[in-house]
Amino acid sequence: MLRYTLYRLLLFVPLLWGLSVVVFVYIHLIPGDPVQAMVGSSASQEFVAQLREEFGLNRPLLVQYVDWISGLPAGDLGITFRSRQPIAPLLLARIPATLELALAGLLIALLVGLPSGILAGLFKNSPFDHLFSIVSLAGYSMPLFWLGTLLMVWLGVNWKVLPSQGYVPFTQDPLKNLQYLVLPAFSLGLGLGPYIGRMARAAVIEALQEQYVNYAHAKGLRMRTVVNRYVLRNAMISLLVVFGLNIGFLLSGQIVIEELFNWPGAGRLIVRAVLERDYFMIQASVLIYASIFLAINLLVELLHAYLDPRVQLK
Amino acid sequence: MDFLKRLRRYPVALAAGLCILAVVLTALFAPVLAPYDPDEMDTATRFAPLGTPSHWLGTDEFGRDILSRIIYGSRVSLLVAFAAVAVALAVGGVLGVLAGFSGGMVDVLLMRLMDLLFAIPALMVALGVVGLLGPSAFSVVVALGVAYTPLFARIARSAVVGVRSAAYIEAARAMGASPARLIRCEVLPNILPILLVQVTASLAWGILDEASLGFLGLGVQPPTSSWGAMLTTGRQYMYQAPSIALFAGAAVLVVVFAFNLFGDGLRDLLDPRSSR
Repeated sequence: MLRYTLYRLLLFVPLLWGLSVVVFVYIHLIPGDPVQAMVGSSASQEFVAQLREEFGLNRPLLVQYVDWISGLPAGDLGITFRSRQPIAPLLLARIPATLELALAGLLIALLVGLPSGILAGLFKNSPFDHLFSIVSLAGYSMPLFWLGTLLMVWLGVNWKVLPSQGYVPFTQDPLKNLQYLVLPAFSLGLGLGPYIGRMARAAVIEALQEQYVNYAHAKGLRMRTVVNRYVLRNAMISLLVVFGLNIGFLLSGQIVIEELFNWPGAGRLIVRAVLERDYFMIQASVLIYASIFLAINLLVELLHAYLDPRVQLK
Repeated sequence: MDFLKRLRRYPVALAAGLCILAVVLTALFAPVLAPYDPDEMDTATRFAPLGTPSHWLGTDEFGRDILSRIIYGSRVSLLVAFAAVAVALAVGGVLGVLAGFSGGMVDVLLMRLMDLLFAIPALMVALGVVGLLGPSAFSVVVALGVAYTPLFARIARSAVVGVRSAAYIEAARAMGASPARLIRCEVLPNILPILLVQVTASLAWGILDEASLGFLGLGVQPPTSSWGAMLTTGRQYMYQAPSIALFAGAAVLVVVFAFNLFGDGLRDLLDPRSSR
């Protein structure tokens, strides 16, 4: 396992490097000049030249890249174009809120999706399975922010059961923090749940068709034992892998939900950067989001190898 | 014809297909079907409620007819989704076929590049591209096209690798077919069903993602009506006119649901082994 872990970690380094190249090249894909695009076409040539000088954009590309990437290990992501603030602390300050919402949403999605998906898979073609298939597909087809809007209007605005928008840090008032968390977390969780449910159903059905399940049945084991010991364990492994690959769905959904509920997470920061066409900020946040995605996938792969040692042999 | 006959054995997929057809026709004949000009403002009838005789779904903050705006909005949603998927299919399909068919270094390089693009969540790629080009329908098409490309490349590649060493390819090669002819006449027809299923699923995402970008204010810009943009304004006027957001969202839900159902049915129909 140690050898495998080291091997995967070593592979991760060139992957991150490749990512940095892709993200860096991105900003230079702008037809013409990035500074011109940021300040608009009405700005004077002197002003544009001055800004290019200030941000070091008049240097050769390679120099710019080396300069940019050498700052990354120390956590230097550059400065924003508009306010000239360092980007890293800005993003970092948003992480607690983003993480809180992501984990809460994921928890709700798992609580909704897993049991229903597993049951549907175990009782394939039963009335419950058919109902599950329709409801989950409908849930999967629903725009996350629409569900969020409906929840916000009914529970937040009309019935005033819960605060509809905003955020209070957990350290300031834990109870208020949780109250504000409920609606966005449910919007995210109920949007993601059907997705997890469908994956769980497919994983269970696949596991049920395996030889070892037939063997366990032939040995005369009770259904409950077969399911708990063989089907679910193996289904959870394949579910883990599929989930890792689709974590982007959670990250994307989160951006929209943060915007809808005025949740001060990293997602809103990025949307604002795009609206303001702050390329340095966009560049940095795409790099961070993609790195997080890759890191989660690395973690999933290692977990997969740990749970299923056959993977290490491949 | 054979395809249509087989489709009849999947009533749910058939119904979904008809629903998609209806939406496409609605988009095509929007000027005939819509009771009003979608941009026509009438300040005298702002926020007309649901069920008003002259405006069935009510009116928005400028007194524009919501039903007409939803009908016209279908044009933007469908057009953007179709164009984005076409871009992804063309670029990703060509890259994937090239990688799978040539193998070796070309394969490794192309696929590692696709893996990297795949590592960035689709909406992030889209946000990056829209940031680059500024918000417009064209940027959304490019953005989603770029975002979906790696997926098509991967699927096309694995499909090509699957058929590459098949006996009929070998036979065609032995008969002196050029690589271009091999790809056109032997490989493409055999990987088409797999790509087709992906196209349907991607259309569903395309409509959802277009709505998401529109909702974030990064899609088609006002006054052009799009479902995503209607959801954004609908949220602001939730008190006065709940039907703006309600029906725009419902339109997205119905169309995406239909595409997903159709895609599921298509997969079962084209590959009976996967039907569960």
